[in-house]
Amino acid sequence: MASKVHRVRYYNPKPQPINCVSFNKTSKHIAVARGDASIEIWDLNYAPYLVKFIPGVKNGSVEALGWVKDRLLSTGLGGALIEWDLDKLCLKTTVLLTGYAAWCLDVSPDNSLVAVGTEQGYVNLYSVDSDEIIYNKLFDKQEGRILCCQFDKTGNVLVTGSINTIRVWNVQTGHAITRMSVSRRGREVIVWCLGILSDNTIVSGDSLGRLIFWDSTLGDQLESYSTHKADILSIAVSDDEKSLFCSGVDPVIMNFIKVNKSTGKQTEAQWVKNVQRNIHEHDVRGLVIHGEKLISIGVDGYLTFSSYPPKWVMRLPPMIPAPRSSVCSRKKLLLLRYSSHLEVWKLGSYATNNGNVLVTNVNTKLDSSQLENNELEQDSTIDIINKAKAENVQLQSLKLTEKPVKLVSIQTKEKNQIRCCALSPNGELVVYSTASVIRMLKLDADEEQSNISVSKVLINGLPEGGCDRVAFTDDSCTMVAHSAGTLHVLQVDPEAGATPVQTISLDKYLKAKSILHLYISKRSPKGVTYLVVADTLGSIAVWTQNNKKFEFYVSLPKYHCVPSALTVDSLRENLIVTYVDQKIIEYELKEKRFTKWPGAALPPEWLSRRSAVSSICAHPTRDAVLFQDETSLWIMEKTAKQEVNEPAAKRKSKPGCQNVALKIVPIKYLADFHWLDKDEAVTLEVLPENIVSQLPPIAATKRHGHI
Amino acid sequence: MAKLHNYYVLCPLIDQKSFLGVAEDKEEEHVIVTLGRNVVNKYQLSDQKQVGGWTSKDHITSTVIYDKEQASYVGVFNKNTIKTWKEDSDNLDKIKKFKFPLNILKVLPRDKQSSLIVFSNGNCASLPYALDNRKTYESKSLLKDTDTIVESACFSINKIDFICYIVKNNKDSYEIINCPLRDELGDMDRSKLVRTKITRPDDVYVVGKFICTEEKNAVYILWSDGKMTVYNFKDWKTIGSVPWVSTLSSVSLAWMGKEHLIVFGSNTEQDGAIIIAYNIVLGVGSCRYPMKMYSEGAKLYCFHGRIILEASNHIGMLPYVLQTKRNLSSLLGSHEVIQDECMEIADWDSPTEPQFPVNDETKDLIKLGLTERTICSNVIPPLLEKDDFRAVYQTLKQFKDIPETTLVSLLKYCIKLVNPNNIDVTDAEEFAKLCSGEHRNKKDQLVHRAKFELLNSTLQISFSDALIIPPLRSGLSLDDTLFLMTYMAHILVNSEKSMDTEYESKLFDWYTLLMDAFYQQYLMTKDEKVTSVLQNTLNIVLDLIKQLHTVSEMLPVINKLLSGKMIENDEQSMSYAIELMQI
Repeated sequence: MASKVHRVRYYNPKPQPINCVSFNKTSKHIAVARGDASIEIWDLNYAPYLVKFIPGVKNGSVEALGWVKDRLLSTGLGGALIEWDLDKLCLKTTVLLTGYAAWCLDVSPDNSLVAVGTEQGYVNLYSVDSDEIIYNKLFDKQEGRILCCQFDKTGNVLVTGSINTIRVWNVQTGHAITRMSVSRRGREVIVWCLGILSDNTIVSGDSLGRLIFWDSTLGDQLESYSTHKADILSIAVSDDEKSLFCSGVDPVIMNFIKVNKSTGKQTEAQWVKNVQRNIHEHDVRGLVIHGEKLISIGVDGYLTFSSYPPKWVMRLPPMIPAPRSSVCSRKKLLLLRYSSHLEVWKLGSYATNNGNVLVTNVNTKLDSSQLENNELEQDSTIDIINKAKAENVQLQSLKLTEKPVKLVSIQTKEKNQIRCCALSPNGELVVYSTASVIRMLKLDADEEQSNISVSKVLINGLPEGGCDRVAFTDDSCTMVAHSAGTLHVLQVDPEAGATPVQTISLDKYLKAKSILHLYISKRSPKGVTYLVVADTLGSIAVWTQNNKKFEFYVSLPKYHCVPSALTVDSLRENLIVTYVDQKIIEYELKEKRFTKWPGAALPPEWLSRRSAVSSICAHPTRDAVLFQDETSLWIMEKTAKQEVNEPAAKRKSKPGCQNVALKIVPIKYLADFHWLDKDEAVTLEVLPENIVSQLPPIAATKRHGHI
Repeated sequence: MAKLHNYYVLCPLIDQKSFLGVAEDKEEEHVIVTLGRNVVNKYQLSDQKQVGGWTSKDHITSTVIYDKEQASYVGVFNKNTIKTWKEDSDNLDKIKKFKFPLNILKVLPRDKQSSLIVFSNGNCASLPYALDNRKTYESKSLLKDTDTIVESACFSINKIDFICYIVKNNKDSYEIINCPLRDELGDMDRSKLVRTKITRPDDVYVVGKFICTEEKNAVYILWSDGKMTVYNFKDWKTIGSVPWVSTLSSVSLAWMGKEHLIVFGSNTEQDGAIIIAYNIVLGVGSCRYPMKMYSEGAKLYCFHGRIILEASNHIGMLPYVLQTKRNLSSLLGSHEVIQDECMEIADWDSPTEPQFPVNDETKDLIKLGLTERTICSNVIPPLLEKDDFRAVYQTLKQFKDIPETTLVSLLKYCIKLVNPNNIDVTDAEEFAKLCSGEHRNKKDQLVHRAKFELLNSTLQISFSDALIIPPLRSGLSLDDTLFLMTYMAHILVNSEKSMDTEYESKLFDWYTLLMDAFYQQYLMTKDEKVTSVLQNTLNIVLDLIKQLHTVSEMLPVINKLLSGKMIENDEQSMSYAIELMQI
């Protein structure tokens, strides 16, 4: 039977541009800073997955990021070098810089020094050896702001780029060794980005769209290519130094490769233009090479992965970090999380006629991506999604009797960004936390839910600093919040407020102090409620609720990567976890053991996926599981085509047996999926065109064959 | 309108610098060309043949002219000597010289008077007087040392002769000197001399100047901004701007005649020259002729319908035609309309027989000269009595103008014809059966249809509302009207009969008419049949109104589609929908 799906497409938080990026080669974590000064840390070991989110502050600015081993540093127009606490996801230390606003930052290859270039032309050098930030020296002041800086491989030489000039500095002395002039015919040229090769060649990208190779010892220009029609903002050099990418305001990504030109006995290396990619429409601000893949970021806010050959593109849209929404199925309420406000919507309802739904129109969906102007390279999809797109052409819309209504919009104080939020399952309470404070609000509605009043509910006994995950039990009487390695269990009463009843220190059970998932299951038929917590290192621990308190129940065996999503099938008391490497496990909580499902029966299509699962739901009526990622919904039958409700048969499935049945519903971009009822669900969708429409206009470019 | 013909060469030039000018000869069509310092030739314009000429050892310094009064040629030699000679003289060197103590600029020929000698210092005198008193002739210079006369002409206003100069000084500014001449002596009446500066407040300079002595006496000045101004010795007036010519280099001007100036100058691209016929009345260029070469300060003349132009190595000639009459029309690009005054003769010889088919019954009546109405009212009722509906149908076709009384009786007859049993009009099924007539055999079916056809055509007959109501009230029974209304409802709603809008609106007219005529009866009667029929009619009308509303709602949408605009989807429905999905 078809399910009635509320497709919510009015959730359009403003996409934030990505200002800068820094890649940690050892942990394979990438840090990106957005226009609202928030920092996201993505794990790129397997499918890219957002593991940490540091909310930005109002009027904050992050212009450059750098990793010192596993410490994250940033600097910006505030004129301070900041170290972030990646466990508590907040500011750790701040060091004020000399020279006002800072534009760039680089960490020496041995992770001992940090250089910061400032507005007034000072290079600030700091030692970061011993888990501290200690002032080392200031380089000689130079004219004009320093827009980029880069250490060479040895760490003895720093190259800075500013207006009209590139300087090579001796890090030991703080004096400039060489100066190179990039100005042309008296025009002011800004050097936006640099790359240094181990043979002392410097690569610069400037505001005239030129990529210039320099000899840093002599200060000579070796080669110059006018590759772009506008400023080049970023250069990325591969580890073997045989290939480099550059892009910028003209968002074409150019690839240069080094070829050996042998003339007689002499062999001479030369850089030549290789391929160019039209992946972005907006300015590209940063490029990072990660193995075979190129990561590009920019004003469009997408985290874009591409590779060649063959041509492949994957875009992760700019979205508010999960969890983005929650539902109250009884009242059909939907809580939407925006950057600094929350909205509660009452979903619409459909017309029924003697129990049959009324279908108003049947649309044949056109695959719009085929019709689009294919100037831009489209996202690469795996075959099965294409197939699903081709099949899923009929959309039956139901006649609406009530349109969705926005009940309340809740602004945070001083527009602080929200770290987490939840709606209690009974629809009475909304809880949210910013970086500093956690708040609970009670929604009072009259019968028709037309008049809504919001009143504050007191929360006692929680430490300062808010929380980063929060969840309610199904009866809405208990709330669990995580803050800095501790779980706080609170008893909630809409009238009396919330009072802590238990605190659980996670040190004993988990390895990391920051957690990824906090999940409270529904009450199982036997009356058990499970609390599952997963940390950023991949440990998973389970508690059970006993009266008002939670008791530790079991820890799952450690897996080598982080769980991207987890759920408890409360009917069968199974914990289902997907990891970022697409591994699915099912754990029988009652027996404390893994089930054999899905074992080797995973269809090959599943393993071809490139994106991480962002949520899992058990199917309310069938023995099936739904996996959701940004672009699709995967419905996996647990028992393949064998008999349903026969666990014995399930266990028999061996390699070579029939694969589990799979159905895919492509939705671009699917922000969230919730079941409301046995046959009713909500999809929260952010349409790509809605993202594009909120972006700044693109610089008009004339491309071949287009007007 | 001016029209310039093809350009051709009159004669080659020896040396452009020494070319002195062209003057009219005593014969028409002949010109005197002072080719150089030593050569004077006479040419016939019509065939460009040389008809005479002289050479001289002394240097000729001004254009040789023909003095009509003395019937001799006059030339200036070595700047201070005048020689006059007849046509037959062959050696100019032997002719008597009249040497003057001061330099002579030129000799100006005058109509019906002796020629005028113009001295370089600005003075002038009539030729005979000057020759007689040449030894004693002395005069104070009119000009400063820096001034030079660039243009000179003489004319007469009200029998007073005037001389006019355009003087240029070393600062490139121009001045007009105008002075009346004394009779006989031909010298200047200095007390009446008028000097006029040629200036404009704008930052412009003179590129062309010309003293016109034909038709109107005036000085034409072309300025560097392309504006043409005229000075009629009283005040200045702007004519307009001269198109097509570049004013960066000097422009030569001459009088063409018939309100036209001829303008020669460099073209706007400065890569060639252009000749323009410029209408001074309308201030527009009426014709242009492109030339290959431009020469600075080229001498330009118009004689006998020909433009004579000094070119780089020859003297060219450009015949032209001027017509003032067609000025405007030619500019507008239209042609003169020739009135077709030929009269069309109508053929009144029409046949006396009527040009339409008539049958025997009507033929006689037409001969009597009766109107259509009268004929109709005479012919139709007997046919109705005969009960031959086919004959009625045929006869009816011949008439356009049917009297209302006849129409009513016709209607009554038709209703009887198709509805002999007075069917129950509330029984829709029975009624439909009657209309389709399906229960009869094939022949009957045809007859049945023909009967309905008669009724249909009767309903299409045009009538006057006011005239038809009284006969309608008396002629038709209530049942008849009910039948008629039911029948019309049937053809409007159920029948597959294709209708044009005219027929449809006719049916609505009948509805209105029947309601008007019988409204009292409808009101008074409590017959269920009436209520049913009226209710039925109301339903039809409401339904039609609804359709009209639908159409008017659709129109803007269709318009939008036609103009290529997107139809906006409802915002809410786009951003929110509940869909059925197989999960």
